Amino acid sequence: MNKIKRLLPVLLLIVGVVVVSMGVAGAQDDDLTFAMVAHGGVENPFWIVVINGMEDACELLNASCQWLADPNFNLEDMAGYWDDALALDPDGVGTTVADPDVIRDGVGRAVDLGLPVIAFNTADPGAGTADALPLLFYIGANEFTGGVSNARRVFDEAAADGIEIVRGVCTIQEQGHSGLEARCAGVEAVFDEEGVPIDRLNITNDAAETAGILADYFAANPDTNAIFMLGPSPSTGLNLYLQEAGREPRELYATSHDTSAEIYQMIQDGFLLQTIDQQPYLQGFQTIMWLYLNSQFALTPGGDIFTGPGVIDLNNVDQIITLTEAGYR
Amino acid sequence: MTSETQTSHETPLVEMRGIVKTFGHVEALRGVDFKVDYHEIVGLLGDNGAGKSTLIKTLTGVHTPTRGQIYFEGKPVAINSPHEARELGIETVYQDLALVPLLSIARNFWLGQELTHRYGPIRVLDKQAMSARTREALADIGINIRSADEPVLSLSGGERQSIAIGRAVYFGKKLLILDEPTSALSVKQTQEVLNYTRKAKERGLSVIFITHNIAHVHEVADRFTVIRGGRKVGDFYKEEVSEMEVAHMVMSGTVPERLRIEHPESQTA
Amino acid sequence: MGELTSPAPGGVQPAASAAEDARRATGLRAAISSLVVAGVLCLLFAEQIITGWLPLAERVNISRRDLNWVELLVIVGMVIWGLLTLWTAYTTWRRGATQVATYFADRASRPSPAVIFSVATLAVIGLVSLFLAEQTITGWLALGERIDISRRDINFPEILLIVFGLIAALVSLRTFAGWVQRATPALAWSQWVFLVTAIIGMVIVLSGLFDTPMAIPADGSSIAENIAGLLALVLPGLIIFFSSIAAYQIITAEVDTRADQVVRNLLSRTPGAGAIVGFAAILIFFGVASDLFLEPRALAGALTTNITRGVVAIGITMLMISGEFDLSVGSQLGSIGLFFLLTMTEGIFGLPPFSAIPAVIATFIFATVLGFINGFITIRTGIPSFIVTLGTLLAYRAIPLVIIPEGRILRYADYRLPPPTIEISRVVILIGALLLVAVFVLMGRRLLPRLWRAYRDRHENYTNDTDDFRDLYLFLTGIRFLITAVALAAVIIFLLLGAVNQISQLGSLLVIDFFQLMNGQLDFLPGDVNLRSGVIWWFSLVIILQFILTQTPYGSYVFAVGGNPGAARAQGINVNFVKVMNFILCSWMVAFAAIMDVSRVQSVDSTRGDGLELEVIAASVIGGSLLSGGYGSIVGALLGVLIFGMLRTGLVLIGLNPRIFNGVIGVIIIVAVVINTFVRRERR
Repeated sequence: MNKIKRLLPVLLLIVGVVVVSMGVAGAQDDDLTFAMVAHGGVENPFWIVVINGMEDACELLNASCQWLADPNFNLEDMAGYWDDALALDPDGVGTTVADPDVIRDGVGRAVDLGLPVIAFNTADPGAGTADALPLLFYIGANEFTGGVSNARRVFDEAAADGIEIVRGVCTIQEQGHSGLEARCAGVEAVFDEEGVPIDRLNITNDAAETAGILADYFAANPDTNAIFMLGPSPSTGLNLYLQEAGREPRELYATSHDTSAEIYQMIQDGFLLQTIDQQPYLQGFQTIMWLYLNSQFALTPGGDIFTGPGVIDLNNVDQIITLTEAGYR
Repeated sequence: MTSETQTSHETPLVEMRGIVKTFGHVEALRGVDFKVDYHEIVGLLGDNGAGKSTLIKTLTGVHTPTRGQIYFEGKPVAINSPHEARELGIETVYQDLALVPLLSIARNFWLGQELTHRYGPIRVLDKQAMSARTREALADIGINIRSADEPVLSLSGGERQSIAIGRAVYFGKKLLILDEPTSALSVKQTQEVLNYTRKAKERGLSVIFITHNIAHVHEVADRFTVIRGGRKVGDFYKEEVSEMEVAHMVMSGTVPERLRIEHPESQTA
Repeated sequence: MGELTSPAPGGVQPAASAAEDARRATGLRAAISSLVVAGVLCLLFAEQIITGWLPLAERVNISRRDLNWVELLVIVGMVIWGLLTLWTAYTTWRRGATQVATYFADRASRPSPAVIFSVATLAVIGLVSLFLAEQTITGWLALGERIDISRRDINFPEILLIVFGLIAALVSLRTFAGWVQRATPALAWSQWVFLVTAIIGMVIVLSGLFDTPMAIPADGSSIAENIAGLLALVLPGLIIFFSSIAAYQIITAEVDTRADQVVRNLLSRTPGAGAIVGFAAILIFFGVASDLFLEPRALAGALTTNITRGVVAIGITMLMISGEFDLSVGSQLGSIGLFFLLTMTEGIFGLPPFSAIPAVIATFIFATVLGFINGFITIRTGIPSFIVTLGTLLAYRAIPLVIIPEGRILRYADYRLPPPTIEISRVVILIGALLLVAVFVLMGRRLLPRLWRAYRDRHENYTNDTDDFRDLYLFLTGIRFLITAVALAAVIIFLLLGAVNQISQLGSLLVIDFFQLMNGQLDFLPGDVNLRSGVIWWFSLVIILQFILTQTPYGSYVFAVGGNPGAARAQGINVNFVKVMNFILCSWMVAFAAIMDVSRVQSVDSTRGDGLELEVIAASVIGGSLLSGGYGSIVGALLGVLIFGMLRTGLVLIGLNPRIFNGVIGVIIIVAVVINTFVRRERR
């Protein structure tokens, strides 16, 4: 009996802790929880804008949201971030599909739990096939059409100047990234159609290194007069090369993807014809909104939602700069 | 630099009296008396764990003794760090810690006290002088090397010990402590090291030669001190005792009957 | 050198050790087999020309009717050379000795076929080199068309070829004369001639192989079906290689000196033997593979792109020699670069923006703190620096992540500030220049008499000098004196002119663009050669730190601390001080690199320097530094970085898939380290 008496307060304490924590958990359940798993994060200016979109949407919905990703760039870790996402007991998950097999297990478990899963930023390359992940739909730019848009612009501008595109080069800064490969594939599709040869060149995210590689490439291929950059850091490298080699605007027909101060300036200076803006803010904002709509009211759109390609060129660059400063572009 | 030590001295170079060293409850040394005369090679013998390296470490400043007093050249001294031991002129040659294998012989020889040209605040090595004087100094005790610019790596184990001995001789040290210098060497290399030890004595140094094997030291030592279980078993001049008897003492810790009368202090063993 | 192992006259061999006999027998066998191979290849070459390089199946009519006179000449030459070679092989085999030693020892002896072969090889090498140089100068024109004998448009590789050809011709023909006079130094000289010629033969084979895809018609026929085409590309090189190897073996089979042994000994003296071999191999490979590679533009690009890597590699090498690591250099580069940029633009710790020089000082203080943290934690805790700096790798990366607003690219241009400048009073410059003049004059006074004496001694002792290479030494000591004298005079005159120039405008300030000073384009070069002042800083730092490492007491301490900390401590060296100092030194190098990087790119993003740590450690290891410490060289690290740079440039230039870049680097690291380890072991 004595022993039981002594145990009693301990038991009470345990029961109390359990009750309180259940209450806390229950209280959290009243709020919505969404997770977004991606292959990049706060080290990259692009993702910052996506995260801004996500946070704004969550604030409107009064939901708690988590961005789960490597700060810089990592495909393989996404499996682990998916485990973290499910551990949050979310109401819905958004994910990039940089490599479908890495996240297949996580997506499957989420669907088993009855959670909505939306792909954003990078689509499932196996969509429509037997290998497709059980995703609701895709919110993001179509990388391939972005590449096509850039290549078309180059041919159009060259034709307007009365110049023939002799050879093009598509540079890739992160090898094995399906989104970047799709951008180049779009460019290559247009070049194949036109019957103009196009090279692929591996560069890095380091501007100085990229400038050196470009200088070597153009020494070996002096007739190349079209170049396609796939992001801000590569464009900084291109600008460095152009300045140091003393090349004039329109000597090279160049385009880029995504945005940065340097890219805007290059457009203003005439070194870039255009850049493809996939409107990353929309990718964060809309993914949360549709996760909310689907989890609460089982609503779905008619198909994938494209946030791009939105084109930034000399016509709208000044307006874009003001919006960028506000964190929406 | 050998002139002052050529004259005979009444007092020994080093005298350690009643050294006790305890580590917690463990008594590593239980009151050891030990001395080294001028121009003398003393073989310090004992099995592993007998306390011989603890004794030497109290002399080289690695440990401070719990009780007991050390006299150097007749004066009582407190040796609190290896640096202070070096200042007194005590040089220890550890088997593995003597030289930097990938550095040249000359740079090893002068390590820590390089010969330099001075250009304002910048000191530049005088490599020619370092090489030349290294070769001279080593030739002086009978070590002939092809070039002082070779790395120590290219030398045999015996040659490496010899270079360390040569360095101690050259820098005018008074006491040279060799810690198991020959245990990893071949017979031929051991012989070389013994020769250079003898040379060091001729140049006026005293030498403590630590080993557990009498065969390594019998040829050169003038006197043997045997330690066992933290106590001194006995102190014997080479003429008094045979190699076999010393080996027996190292193993058993008992002094043969015929020697006890001459050495009353070892009765306690 | 050059001492004969069998001085006894009449070919009587003195009793030699069994090992010596075995060596001789191996040498003889190698010589005979090389001779046979060379002979067979020569005859094959002649046969192929006669039959027109046709594939075997198409040889309906074996002999051609349309041979031109050049082809006839080559056929005759090849047949003669092939027969000579085979005859030499046969007689040498029958005699069981090459009898080179006898030939030199006994003036009355008749030259053996092996001797004749060696002499003939020398003559051919000399004449061909002369011919090559002459043809390069005159542009390979037919005799009738040579109106203007010398060309005006000779490019850089061609100048090299001409100089090299002339030197080779001079050396070979002089050695040829030495053989005829039976003067023993000719033996040592000809070894070198044959060794170098054999290497050139291999280079020609390599370039032939590289051209294979182009020479084999792309109509689907495989290499196997077109062996003749392949032969046409590699045969000349192979014939050169085997002929000179045969001649080399003929000499070394009976003479006690071996040129390759000398080379190996020389290499084993430097930590970066693998890097030297790799550097030479890559230079030759890409030089052969792409015409653009040896252009100043490509080389300058390879240098400019690798300034950051090169400067950081200096610091990491110092640190590695002292037995520690710094994995945080990449993160440091990002943080320090950002710190420097912010100091000049926004100001740090609430201070107003600094001008260039105070900003540099503040940056170096910041770098000192980062390096000290690494060193202090490592020393105090005894945790391996690999782990400590793995931690700071992540921690230091957080600095730019937190500070750069929303991870954007931070650009100097966005602050709308004028380019940073340094303003110096011309009086200061004048005094500085005059002080430098005084230093150089003093240096000349100490150095020149010594060099002159060295030359005079060589000159006076020339006739008594028994060294095989006395001509070379005499020439080198002379040219060393001349070059030093001229260089010193030029520097002094340059400084004096500069000083005079300052006097005329003493009142005004000299304004230097800081970015231009740190990493600007060098104005005096043509525009397409992108060589920047950062390269000059980089190489100056290499020289200064290599000097510190090899010529000062501190360098000895660094080696000792890494090689055997116990011994260093026993000799009274403050091991902890040296280690912490090297951590700080490494951070200073990173700061230098960061300032140069910012000066060139004029922006910082939060990923700047990602992955740099492994690249510089790899470069350092290629350059001969041991991961365990105690060994290495700054010059080796320089070569390691250059290998990196040349690989990237070369792969882009030849249009090879750059995806294999990392694979190639991996192989190079392993090969270089194997070579380094091998030569180190060889030495023991």
